[in-house]
This record gives sequence, C-alpha cells and structure tokens, in this order.
Amino acid sequence: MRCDPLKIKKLSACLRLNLLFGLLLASFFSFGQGTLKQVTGKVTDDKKEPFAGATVRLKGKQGSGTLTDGKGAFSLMAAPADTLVISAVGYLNVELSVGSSTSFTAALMPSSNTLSDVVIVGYGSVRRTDLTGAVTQVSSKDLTKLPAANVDQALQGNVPGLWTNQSDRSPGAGVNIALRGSNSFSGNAPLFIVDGFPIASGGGVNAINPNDIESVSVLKDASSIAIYGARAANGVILITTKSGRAGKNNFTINAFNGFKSFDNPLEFLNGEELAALRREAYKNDNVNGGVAVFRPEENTMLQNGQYTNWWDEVTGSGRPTQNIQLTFGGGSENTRVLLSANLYNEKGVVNNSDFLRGSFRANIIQKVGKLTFTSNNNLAMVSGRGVSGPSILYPAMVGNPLAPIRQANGDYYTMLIGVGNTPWANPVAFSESIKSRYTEPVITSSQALEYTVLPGLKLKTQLSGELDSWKENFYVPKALSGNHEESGRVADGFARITNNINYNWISETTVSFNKTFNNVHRLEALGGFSVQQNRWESVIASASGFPFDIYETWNLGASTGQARKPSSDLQKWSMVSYIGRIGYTFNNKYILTGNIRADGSSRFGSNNKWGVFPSVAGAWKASEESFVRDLNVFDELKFRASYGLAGNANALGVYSTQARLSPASFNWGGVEASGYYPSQLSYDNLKWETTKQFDIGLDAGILNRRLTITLDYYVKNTSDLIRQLPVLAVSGFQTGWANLGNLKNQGVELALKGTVVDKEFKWNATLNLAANRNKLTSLGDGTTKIGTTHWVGEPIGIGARYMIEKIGIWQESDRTEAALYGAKPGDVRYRDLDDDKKINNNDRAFHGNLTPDYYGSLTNDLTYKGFDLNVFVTFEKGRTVYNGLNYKLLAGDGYDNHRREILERWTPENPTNKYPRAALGYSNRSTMASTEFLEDADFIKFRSITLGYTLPEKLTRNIKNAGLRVYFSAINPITITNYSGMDPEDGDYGNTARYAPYPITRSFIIGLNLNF
Amino acid sequence: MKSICYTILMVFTFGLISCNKDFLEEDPKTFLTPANFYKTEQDLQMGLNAVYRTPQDRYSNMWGAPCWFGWATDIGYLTPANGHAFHNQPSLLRNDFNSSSDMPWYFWDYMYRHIKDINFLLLALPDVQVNVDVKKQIEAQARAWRAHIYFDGIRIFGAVPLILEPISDVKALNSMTRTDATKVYDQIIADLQFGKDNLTNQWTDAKDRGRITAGACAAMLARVYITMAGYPLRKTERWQDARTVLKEFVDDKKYGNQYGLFDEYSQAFADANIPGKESVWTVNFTRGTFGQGSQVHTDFSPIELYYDSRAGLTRGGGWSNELPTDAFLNSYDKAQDKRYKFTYWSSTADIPDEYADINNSTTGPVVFARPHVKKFRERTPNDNSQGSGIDHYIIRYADVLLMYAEVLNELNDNNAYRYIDMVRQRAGLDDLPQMTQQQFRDHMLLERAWELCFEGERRFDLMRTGTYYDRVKAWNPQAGANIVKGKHELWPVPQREIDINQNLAPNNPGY
Repeated sequence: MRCDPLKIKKLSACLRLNLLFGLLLASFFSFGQGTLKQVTGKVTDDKKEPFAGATVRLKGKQGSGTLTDGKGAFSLMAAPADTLVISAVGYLNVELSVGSSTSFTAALMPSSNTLSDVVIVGYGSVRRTDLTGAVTQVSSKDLTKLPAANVDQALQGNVPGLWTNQSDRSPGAGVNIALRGSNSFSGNAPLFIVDGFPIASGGGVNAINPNDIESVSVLKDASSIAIYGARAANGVILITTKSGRAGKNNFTINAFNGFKSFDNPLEFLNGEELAALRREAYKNDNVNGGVAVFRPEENTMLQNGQYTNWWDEVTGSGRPTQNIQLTFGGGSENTRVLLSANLYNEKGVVNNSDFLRGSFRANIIQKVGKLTFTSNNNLAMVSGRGVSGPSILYPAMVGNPLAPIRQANGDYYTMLIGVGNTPWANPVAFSESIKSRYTEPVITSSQALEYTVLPGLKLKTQLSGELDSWKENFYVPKALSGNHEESGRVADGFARITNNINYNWISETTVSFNKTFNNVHRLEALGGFSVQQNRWESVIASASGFPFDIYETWNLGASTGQARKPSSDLQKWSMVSYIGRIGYTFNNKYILTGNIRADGSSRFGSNNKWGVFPSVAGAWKASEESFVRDLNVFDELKFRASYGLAGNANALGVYSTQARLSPASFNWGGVEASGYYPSQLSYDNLKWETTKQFDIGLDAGILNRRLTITLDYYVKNTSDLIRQLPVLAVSGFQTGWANLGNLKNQGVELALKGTVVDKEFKWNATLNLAANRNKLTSLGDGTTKIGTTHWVGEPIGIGARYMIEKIGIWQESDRTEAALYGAKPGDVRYRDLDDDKKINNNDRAFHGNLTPDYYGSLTNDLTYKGFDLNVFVTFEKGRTVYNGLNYKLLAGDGYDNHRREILERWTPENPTNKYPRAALGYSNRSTMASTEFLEDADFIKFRSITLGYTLPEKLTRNIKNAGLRVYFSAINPITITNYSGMDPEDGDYGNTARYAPYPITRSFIIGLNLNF
Repeated sequence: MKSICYTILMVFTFGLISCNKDFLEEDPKTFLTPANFYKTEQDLQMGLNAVYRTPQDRYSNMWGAPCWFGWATDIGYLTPANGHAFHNQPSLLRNDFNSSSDMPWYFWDYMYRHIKDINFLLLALPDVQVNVDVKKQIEAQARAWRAHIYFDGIRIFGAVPLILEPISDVKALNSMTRTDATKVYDQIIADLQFGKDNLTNQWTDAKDRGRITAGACAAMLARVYITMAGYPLRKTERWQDARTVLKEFVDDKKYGNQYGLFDEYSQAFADANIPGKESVWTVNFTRGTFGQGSQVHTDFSPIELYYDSRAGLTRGGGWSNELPTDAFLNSYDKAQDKRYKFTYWSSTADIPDEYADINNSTTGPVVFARPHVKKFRERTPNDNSQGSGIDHYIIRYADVLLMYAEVLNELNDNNAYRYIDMVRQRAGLDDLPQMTQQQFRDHMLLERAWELCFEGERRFDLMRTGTYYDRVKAWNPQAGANIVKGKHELWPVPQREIDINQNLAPNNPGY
C-alpha cells in the first residue's frame, strides 16, 4: 500500500490541532472548589448485592466521577455543598446530598421505561431525553419475544416506520425492509452497523445471534443518519452486542424447544373433483367431441379412488426448532467479559428445509489507566437447505391429484403438470433427492483502543474485519436432472458449487470532546476519519453427466457430459470518510446538533468522487420550562426538528460507472480470433442518490410517565435517482445510466407506551403505528413514465397495479353482448373503459395499493407475582397483493390442481359472479392482469403469545442467587385476514408465475432461562 | 508520554490506510475497460477484429438483411406467403412502413453501433506504441469500414449525423443535428482515400484473407463518385474522378494484378473462390460453431424445400424471402445467358445430381410455386442452422468493370464497350452493338441487374440513376401499387431518435 506523506502530515496536523484545542478548553474551564473532604460509600443493587462499576460523580461537575469497585465501594473528594449522583446503565439514578456525612449507602433500582435510558446513536450515545433526532431503540427483551433466526426477523413490528415484510417464510429467510418508504428504484436496504462496524455482507448480520444483542437503534431522521453519509439514505440500523458487567458474574442458560405446525389456507380438489372439472371443461369448450381425455395412469387412479395430495407429501408438522445458549458475563472493574455460545436449529414445515446457526462470541473490555481496549468477536457458522419455489413448492401446489408419486416400476412419475404433457418436476422426487445445502462461516472482529486524554476528551481508534464465505453445493441426481428446469434439463445429473467470499475491513479514528461549562453550557464535539474496503470474490463451477449419483458435488471432474465453463468474479470497493459533529445544550433546555460526513467512494464516477452530507437538529425540552412545569401535566415534553442530507451510494453497483469492452470474436481464415468492442460507456458524472429529509417530532410523558408518547412527521425528497434511460442511438448505445428523477416520501409515526395497571398485577402496553405515502415526483427529463412500471405522480412501481378490472361473470342473459367480446356466458367480464368492444391494454387503470395505508404493532406485557404474559400483535391495513397464482389455481381446466373454491364455479344453474365456468386453455378469462386476482392483504397477526413463570426466590435461593424462568410460547398462533393466498405478507405473483410461497409456520415452544 | 500515545495511535490508523488517491479508483479485473485495454498492437488488432465482425449483421444476421435492398426494387419482391409485418413493411411500401417500423431502426442502430466501435479504436490509436506502418494499416481498415457505413447511411436515410469521435454526453447527443450530405461525402472520400493510399494491395498471409486492401478502397471510392454524379446530387464532375480511379484499378493495375473474372459465372460463387480473384471487398463468413455463418442463402432458398420432409434445412430449404419479379425474369436472354440458368431454379429437378433421390421418387421432384434464387446456395447436404461459409461480395470485380464501362459511356468514351463486353462474354452473350449514350445507359441498368442481382446494390443503382420510381412502378406490382415518388427513395429516420432529439426532425419527405 502506498501512502502520500504530504496528506498524512496534513491530517495528523489537523488532528493535533483538534487535540490542542481540546486541551486548551479543558484547562481553561476546569476550576476547583474549596473545603473538600474524603467521602466513601457502598452501592448495592435491588437485591442488596454489591454493585460494581456504578458511576459516582458530583452533580454538575464533569470529570469528578469514579466507579465502584468489586465490593460496590467508592471513595472521592467532595464539598458539603455537593450532591452525589450514582448511576449505572439500566438503573435509576440516586442523588445524595453530601452535607456533613462522609459515608453513604445507596441501592440502585433497575429502570424500565425510564427517561434516563441511554440511546445508542452514530458514533456515541445520548440520554433519551437529550435526543434531537428520530431514533427507535429496541431492547434485548423486545428482540427475543420471538425465536427469531436473525436480526431482521427480530425487528419485525418493533419500530414505528420500519415496514417489514416476510414474503419468504422458509427457515432463516431474510425480511424485506423499508424504513420510511422506498427511496430508490434500486432497493431499500438500510445500512447495518454492528458495534461500530458497517457490515457489508448479508451473512455478517445473519450470523449474529439475536440473544447476544444488547440493543438495536434504528436511526430514521436526517440528523441521525447524516453521520453515515453516502450510505445512510435508507436508514441505519445500529446493533450493539452485550458486554459483561463489572462485579456481577453471571451465568445464563437459555434453552427452548419447539414444535411446528402450519396452516395452509389453500385447500385443493381431490382426484374425483378434478376429473369432474375436466369433463365439464371439455364439454363446455366442445373439444374432442366434448369428451375429456385422461392418461392411463389417471384412469387407474380414478378407478382405484386413490388420489395424491402433493402438498401433504412435501410438508409435515412436528418439526423442531431448538435453541441452546450459554452465556457468561462479568468481570472486575478493569476487565469485563461476555462469552456466549449458541446453537440454533430449525427444521422447516416443508420437507428437508432447515436452518442451522452456531455462534460463539467473546466481548472483552480491558481498562489500563486511561486506556480502554474493547474487543468484540463473533465466530459463526450458518447453514441451511432451502426449498425451491419453482421445483418443489409450485408443483406441490398445482400437482395433479390423479398423478401417482411413483410409477409401477418404482421410478418417480414425471408427467405431472399441464395439458401439454411436458415432463415436469415431481416435487416429492426433488424434495427427497436433490442435494442442496449452503454453509457460511462468518467471522467478525472489532478491536478498539480508547485513550482518555483529559476528562471529556477521548481519542479512539477502531479496526474491524469481517470474513464471510458462502458456499452452496447443489446436485440433481441422474434420474431427475432431465426434468429439472432450473438447471436446464440436462441429462445424467447436474452438479454445481458456488462460493462467494466477502472480505471487509475498516479503520476508523475519532476524537471526541464533551464538557459542561458553568453548569449551563454543554458542548460536545466529534471529529473522525475512516477508511473501509470490501472485496467480494465468487467462483461457480458446474458439471453434468455423471456415471453415478454417488459423487454428488464432490468429484466434478468425473463428469462425462458436455464441458461447462466455470465462472469467477471479483468486486472491490473502497470508501474514505471524514466525520464531524458538534452539539450544544443550553441550560438543559435547548439542544442544537450538527452532523456532517464527507464520503469518497470508489463506486462514484470520476467527476463526482466525493459527497458531503450535512444535517442540523434542534430540540426544546419544554418540560424544563417553569411555565410548563407549573401545568403539572407533563413529566417530559420535548419538541424536535431536524433537516439534512443522506446518500444512497449502493444504488450504484460496483464498477457501474466504468466503461466496458465485450468480446466479439471474428474468424480469420478458419481461425477464431478474439475481438473486443466497447459495450458500455463510462459514466464519469454518475453519483449517489440524495435524500433530503425534514423531521419534526414530539416526546412527551404524562401521569408520572405511565404514558409516554413519541410522535414524528417527516418529509423526504430524494433526488438524482439512478436510472437507466434511452439515449440517442447515434452514440452507439441504446441506453445509458443517469442521475435523473425525484421522489417523495412523507409520513407519520407514533409510539405509545403505557402502564395500564400498576399494582401487584402489572400491565404494560406499547402501540406502534406508522403511515407513509410515496410518490414519484419527476423523472427529470420531462417524461412521465418509465415503461409501464413507474409513473410520475404515483407511488414508484405502480405499474404493478395497472390492470383491467373484473366486473363480474357474463351471464346467460348477456350472451349477445358477451359475443361482441368473443366471450361466452360463464367467462369473466371486464370493464371496457374505452367502450371499443375489445378488452386490451387501453382498458387498464390503477387499482389498489402497493404499500399499506398504515401498519403497526401492539405489545401487551402482563405480570402477576411470578407469572408474565406477553402478547405481541402486528397489523397492516391497505396493502393489496396481486395473487396471480389463482390464475392457475382457478383456471377451471381440470388439469393441474385447483383450489376448492372452483367448486363454486359458474354454471347455468349457478349464475355466480365470482368464479368463471370450467374451460380449457384459460378461455374463460383474459391472460392480462386483472383485479380478479388483486386482493386486500389487510391482516392482524398474533405473532407470539408467551406465558412465563419465574420460580420464587425461596425455591432457588439455595443455588446462590439463581433465577429460573420457564415459559411457553405460541408463535404465529392466529392470523386474521381476508387474503386468500398463502399469507398476507406474500409478494405479487404474475398469472404465469411458476412459483409458490412458503407457508407461514405456527410453532409452540417451551423454554427456560436460568441465571446464577 | 501523551505525545507518544498520540503518535502510536495515529501510526496505527494511518499506517493501514492508503491515502493515495488511487484508493478510490476502481481497477476491475473481470472485464476489459478502455483504460486497461488498447495498450498493445494485439489489443488494437482485437479491436479491429470486432470491427470486421459487425458487418455480418448488415449482410446476414439482421432478420432478412440480405433482402432489405432487393425488396421493393424492379427485380425483387417479398413472397406473398410471408406474414411478418417486419418484412412486409419495406416490401409493400404501404403506410405501415413508417418511422416506427423496425427495419429502419435496426439499420440505424447497426450503423451507429459500428461507427462507435470504429471511433473508439481510432481514438485509442495515437497513444499506443506500435510501428507506424502497422498503425496506418489498422487506421486505414477502420476508416474504410466507417466510410462504407456512412455511405450506406447517406444512401438510405439521406443526411445523417456525422460522428467521428465517441460521444457519451447526453446533452451533446440531444442537441445533435443531421449533417449536410456533402460534408458526410467529404469524410467518406477522405477515409477511402486514406485507405487507398496507405493500405497494402494484397494481404499475403492466409489468416489475413478478406481484409480490406487499397483496391477495395479504390473501388468503393469509384462507387461513391458515380453515386455523387447521379441522383440526387448530380455532381457530374465526379464522373472524371471515377474514371481516374477506375483506370488505375483496371488498366494500370495500380492496386495489384490479382483481379480478374473467373471463366464461368458460377465459379465466382463457389465457396473456395471467395475471397479470390473476383473479390474486391467481401464480408467474411464461416460455417460452424462461431455463430458466424451466413444466412444469405437461406433467405433466398425455397420454403417448399424447408417444409418437404425429404429435404428441410439441411438440403437446401430456406425462407423464400425474396423472389425475382416476372418482368425481370422475362428480361433475360434465357437461352444464351448462362447467368440465368445459374441464378434461378424452379424445382429440385433443376439440380439433378443433388436431388436424384427426390426427383426419382414416386411423388417426384419438389416444384416451387415461383422461381427462386440459387446463386448463393451451397452444395447439399449441409447444416443450414450453422449458416453458410460463403463470403458475401460487397464489391466484385465484375462490378468494377461495369462501373468503368458506365463511367466511360457517361464521358462519351467508346472504350465503354470493351469493359461491358468482358462481362457479357463470360455470360455467353454476344458483344454489345453500338448504341447511343442513352441506350447504353438503359442497357447498363439491365446488364448490372443480370450480373449483380440480389448481391445488395440494386436499390442504390436505381436510386442514383434516377429510375427508382419508374422501374418499381413498371416492374414490381407488389411495391409499385403503393410507391410514392419523392418519399420512398429514402427510409425514415427512426421515430425513437426524433422523440429523444427533436433536432433530428423533420423526418424525410413523406414520413
């Protein structure tokens, strides 16, 4: 690596200046006070155990503090006029006037839902009361309500404004996330930061055991995210892992075991019903003289009255979810340690799907004088077997009940789907025989050294690295590969190994300064510099045509089939960043914060290498004003406002600004000669998308903080949207990339936390509610739409809701009019918008919503004596889903299987307007997307109901302060919805999609937590 | 102590950092960029190879491309059995042949794709350390292709934007206008003259067969001159320029003495003979796995054979995309002209040796509804799905002789007969009797058709001689029913381009 010595000099000079400035300030403002005396004391917790590591300081005097030792003891110099403030994270502060005493005792009570909580924000933490931005912090307790496989799953429903959608419900699957709406055509992935380390790979987040997490802060407004600059526009999720607590050596065992069932809302026809449908279809369309055709196997099945229920064949209940976690936390004043090991094993309700995670964490904090060394390390192995939607779930859903699983000779039956007799996937065969497993070792490690130059002035440098190696071994056996469409229907076995390795490192140095002057001016400043680099490598090797199945993927060289080229790839990106923050608080009432970050990224075009992202925020703690205090209503009342910029650098792919040459070989005299031609231009001006966000918010607490309210309104304007647009072909290219277009998101978020009953029986409730509206405001070049996908003035992606409208079924009395449209009684009738007696593209209009009108969650915590009950509900209103799978499942041809609803189909005797007549070849409806399959996906889901019981202390006292809690959870016990598909969180499926969603899993879990 | 600590911390951090500005530069390894390519002679040759690849699109790969400039002429029309709008639009010349039709867009797109490749190569050239002579050969070949493309463009679309350097800036593109035709011609002439003066007369190495030579540029220059001398520019002084370069070519053998006519017309179309002595400028095709086989023969071959279970694609079947007009067939001296028999067939009985089994079977020979063109076909059996390996002539020596004769007639030089008779003699025809200048002109239009039909120049011959409307009206009932004088001489500029850049409006007259 080369270094430019000049630049180093400049930088370090700058940092030195900063330090010098800090030193000056510190010496100028520190001043002493007379008649000091030695005071000592002892701090305990609520169980009268010594409390080590609590902070004891003199009120209003920064830098006067000390920490309690392993026995909970402290000693410091104080004047009689001073007040001791004893504090610890997660406990209520205790204040004691010094007066004439020299010896004190104090007991710290754990805080829950108090205003002294500390919130983790970018490059630091603030008291919740001093927060100027919109940040939701989720506690460990809320994250572990559900036995979540990963953090994204754990965040569902816990953050107002964070819309989550689990369209893939297979074990270990990720969650679609959009924070405050969609900002971009290029995806909504927020930036994940784990213990100060921006994680680059999906694996790095999935490898974290949710039980190792102390808290997750979701940064939403511009002032909170701007310090993460060019990557922050989609929001930032800060994950802080647990650390040991001094003086409290604590062993924890968490274990649970669960069993799954599932609820398939789809019910299918049996063989006899399907045969009847097919006969009716042939008759209706008068094909083959009105006599239905059955294959010999189908006739055999019909005669024997034996039908295959394909869905049941590939799914099953009673599959386990197991988790065991061992944790040690503790240490002394100078050394704090958290060690944990976790094994998580989940088997899916679809056969042979699973997810496994083993993770090992060591978090160590070591203090030596003014130096603090923090080390966070996670070693994990994630592994799983997914199931293919096209090869297994889809044929299991539409599989013909008149088709046998195996032929008479024992081989798998293949003629499963369709009128055309195409050999197609037998889902049982694929489920049982395909070898498919990914394994993913992930190592993340962060080391940080912090030097306290002076009280309030700290220098910190952190070095972090991540290694994530994802590998998939995939083998389709000889007997099936010819029918496996996804791998190209190759003969005699198909084997593939894919390996993607990601290396990510960051080096970051910050200087921070924090000081209160004259008890009224609190000043905070931060400056820093960071460098990050990421390297992604990929190798894919595949082979087909094997003599035996025995090799699977482990002897690709044994292939005798046509040679397949391996492929490989390398993608690197780097970033250099400068960060700065300044905060000023006057009289604990008025707070002003400014954040800035300059990001240079290798992804940006050469003319736009650097982006600068500033933000400002202010807060007014009205409850500190005497006129508000006199109202005696508000325990807390704070108004917040912020404005700033953030970028979406990841909308630009790595190397996407680079010109490319592509091969075009040419044959000279019978010899192939390589040739290359320019296939892509360089985009020297291409840069990040910019989101300007304004946020105004309110935090209030009333009734002795039994009710707290957080309310936010925001407007986000995103400009410089990265999109591909047609360019004049005179350039030699048909399309080009540009930063063109604007979109807008605005919305409100509400979080209500209340203690409904506060007696021996205690009832806490939390309501989260959010609404967002998204609109494409311009495309920047005067055009009004992109294809038929995005339309100016509408939410992005609205093209998916541009369709013809079903208005009923043509009835016998409409026969003449129906004929004008080439339709018969029993066919679906559509609105003819232009009245030209044709149903075509001109009859399309917008119908339904892509995103919910509002969504949220309700959490109820009830405790009585040793019992605790938690009921967690999420809900969503106003989203529609295009459930085109019904195009097939209600086709009415009697070939592939149908939903039972087809039994209510139109017949002359049953002139319904709901389901059309039996027909062959989809002749009963248009092939176009129509509102027939557009469904409301409103839902109320009981995500979990947990009943726990903590054994009384007298039973567990013998085992040295042990605490034992046993609990029972029902996960996803109830879903209330009118949606007819698999689950209201499904994504859209087109009419011809050969795919099916994974069912939602219902599980029952018994667990125990043991502390000692 | 403190300063030591700072120093340690800072060294720790900054030691790991490359503060060099290269740190934010991308250095992709998995694809080529102009920054890591165009460094050596080999790179330049590879760039040039791609330039040679692209014209295969124009002569074969684009759907029906071999027929684009034969349809709606006096000699060729589209089989009525063809139902593709794509083919029907330019053949029937109804109102649905307009600025939104696919074919003008495909040609426009092809032109500028090709020009872009050439301009990138030319831009990179000066900075590469290569022998000056090698560099000149590369530059001359690239510029010759560019001239060829612009010459096509101006004959098809009229004035077109002239781009000589890669342009990526959207603003510059969207303010671009169509360049005056004479300016485009100036550039074409400059590029071809550079090739004529700098390229070798003959590439000797077998692997260089088919490269552009000085002679190719000279002959193309002659074609450009006679085009400029004709409709619509009527720059009659160009006849003299054409005469000069053709004299150099034919009489003085300035561009090599390798050129000549094969003894038989049929020999000129045998795979082994192209490139050969009749090849002046060809497009190289290769049968086989490279996807570089020619589709020319399948476009002209009978669909009756394709559908016949005994024949199919491997035994001469094709798409019947272009058929000869009745008037044209009747214009031949069918008894004398050897070219007639070689060029057409009406049933498999016309090729007894290859179709003996079919001809002798109980159902008898496969008879086609209309006579088909067979001058481009390969001996069967062959796998037409791989295309043909027969190279396609852009300029054939017979064309050079006919151009020379035409030019001499225009300049009232009686030597014109010498050169046209060379071509006629080979075809088995008698020498041409003495004619008036106009009679000679009229005859030349026929002679060119007999000799060069379906090789791709017919539309342009009619255009430059100002006979397009009248001949199509009289000879081609299919297009003649709809042709509009003053409109169909040019194709429309694609609407897509005018939508993006209004400066390209108005479109050509009538569209």
